[in-house]
Amino acid sequence: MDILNFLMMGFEVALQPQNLLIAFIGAFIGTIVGLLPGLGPINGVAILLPFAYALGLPVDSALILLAAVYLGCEYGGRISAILLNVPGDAGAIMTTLDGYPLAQQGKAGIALSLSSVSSFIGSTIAFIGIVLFAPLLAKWAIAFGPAEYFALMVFAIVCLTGLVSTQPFKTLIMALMGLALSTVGMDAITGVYRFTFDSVGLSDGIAFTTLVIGLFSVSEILLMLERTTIGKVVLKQGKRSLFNVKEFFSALATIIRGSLIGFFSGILPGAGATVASAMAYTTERKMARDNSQFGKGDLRGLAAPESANNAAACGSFVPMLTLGVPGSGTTAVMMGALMMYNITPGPQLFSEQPTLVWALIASLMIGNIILLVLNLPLVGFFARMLSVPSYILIPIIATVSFVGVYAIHSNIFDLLLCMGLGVAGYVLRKFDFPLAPLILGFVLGQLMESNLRRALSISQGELSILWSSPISIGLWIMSALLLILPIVRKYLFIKKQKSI
Amino acid sequence: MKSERILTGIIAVCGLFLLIYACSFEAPISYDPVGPKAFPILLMGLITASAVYLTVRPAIMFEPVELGWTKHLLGKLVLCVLALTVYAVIFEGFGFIVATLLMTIAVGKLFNGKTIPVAITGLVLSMCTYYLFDRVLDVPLPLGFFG
Repeated sequence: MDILNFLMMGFEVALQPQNLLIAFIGAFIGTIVGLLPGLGPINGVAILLPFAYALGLPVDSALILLAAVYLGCEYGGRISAILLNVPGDAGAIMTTLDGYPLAQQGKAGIALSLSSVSSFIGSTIAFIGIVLFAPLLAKWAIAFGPAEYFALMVFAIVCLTGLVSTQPFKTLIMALMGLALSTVGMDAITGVYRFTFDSVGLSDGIAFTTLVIGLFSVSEILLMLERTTIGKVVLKQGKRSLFNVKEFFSALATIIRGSLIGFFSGILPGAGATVASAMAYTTERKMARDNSQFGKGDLRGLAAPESANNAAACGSFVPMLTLGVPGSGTTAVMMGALMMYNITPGPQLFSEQPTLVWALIASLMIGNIILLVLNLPLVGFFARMLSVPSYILIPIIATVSFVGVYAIHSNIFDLLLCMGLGVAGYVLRKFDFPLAPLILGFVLGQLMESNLRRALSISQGELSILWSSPISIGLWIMSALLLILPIVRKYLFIKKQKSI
Repeated sequence: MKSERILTGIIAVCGLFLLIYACSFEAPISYDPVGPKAFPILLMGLITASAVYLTVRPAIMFEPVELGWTKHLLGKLVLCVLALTVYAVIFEGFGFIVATLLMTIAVGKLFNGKTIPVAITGLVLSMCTYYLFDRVLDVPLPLGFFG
């Protein structure tokens, strides 16, 4: 049982006192970031990333921190969704549908406790999924050459545009921009400066942290300026603060189904927690014999999205660790973090850095347990965080973000670049251009170009090498199908609209 | 819809400009058959093409986007961007503590804070973060004229 040995080794690393403390801090910060409306896992991970690096944390501790923040956000998002009807992050949008009505009926305690147990089960099932599937996938992916890799990355980007978005071209353009931004700076092979406009600050390329903080932190501050004050937590005090056995068993099947849906949609690049929770919710509503209570405070409507979004968050680690293609915006940021440590994620990671990989996987489980323990008793404390006024919160976000960017090169240019990116990100977000694909593109850009160039070097410029193996042909066919899908969908949509 | 067409139009023009710019990337010696310019040219071409499509697509393909930009809000947005940009510019010259204090007051006021609580927040925030990062966490921050 190789896998069990590796897993034990991972737990050994993750259970070291320092890493345990880091996981605890990450889980705590993650929950707070998650519950604050507007701030989601990408923001949390983006803001903490430069510190993990600047502090000189070893790579496994840094990843444990970021993973704990990620999971924490998925836990935290539900608190504001249930108490305020405002999703704390995108993955918690579906949670408002039944969570808030429950809170209005004086069942906030039941809703909060049941949803944290759902989250826990979701993560646990996904954890088991990772342990079972990831090593297999990595073993299979080791046969990938540069041509297969190139095809895989094209597939990942097409997946984003075809599967999830209602606006495929907007998603596509953002992913392309991310790829293009990654070419800024000196070309690694020839030493030619690209898109630098003779600026010294750009000659190294755009630092990952600057991009992420600009796009997600600065633009978020501007978006928050638009929102008027959020409602106050006014709740009827319920009798119970914990669900009972009957309630738990009525939701158990839902939780397990939600977890499976979440895990598998987490594995697909780009689908992520938001899509997973929506899918789990609609599936449950369709399957339920009596669905009259959905949207009015059905426990199943609460359990399904919560188990799914946590399972998806864990599931999105699978493609990152095994293929080097992140499954969500947040794992794209984490992959950027790995690259800052000069580690290229991919199938070799399992054989070359087994301790790192298994420590990260083990820390998902540990973070999950910490979160459950934190969330059941401390929910009142976290809820109070919602009343921190924005005139205190926003300057804190701005300060921490700027310090993070400044810490990279200690120069003003990066700060101004970050501001520019932030304003651009804000405008794009206003027009419904999604930013996560841009990050995905940026992270994949260099790998994609170097694999393309390596493949063509091997074939001496012959393009047919790109579709010469069964794996790459399969990936190209799947990409083509996914490209056609949204066009067909849009066509059907227009036809329907015209007939009305 | 009109403003969206303008935005994608700008993206298309920028894409085209960068496409032409990318054509000038020449390696002195060729190391690989692809060279440094093929990938950027491919990307810029695709970006320009998608942006052109988004600009000229028929009205039925648009999904409603609510901007909600009132004059009042736009004013606040500009002030906020300005405050943060000034913060970036004076970050080194004025030093972290003073710059953060000023930024907190400006941004805090924009988020409807009252002067005294905002000023106290600024003082506590700038001192604490300076101490935390520069002293405890070893992330060097500029002191400006206190240095």
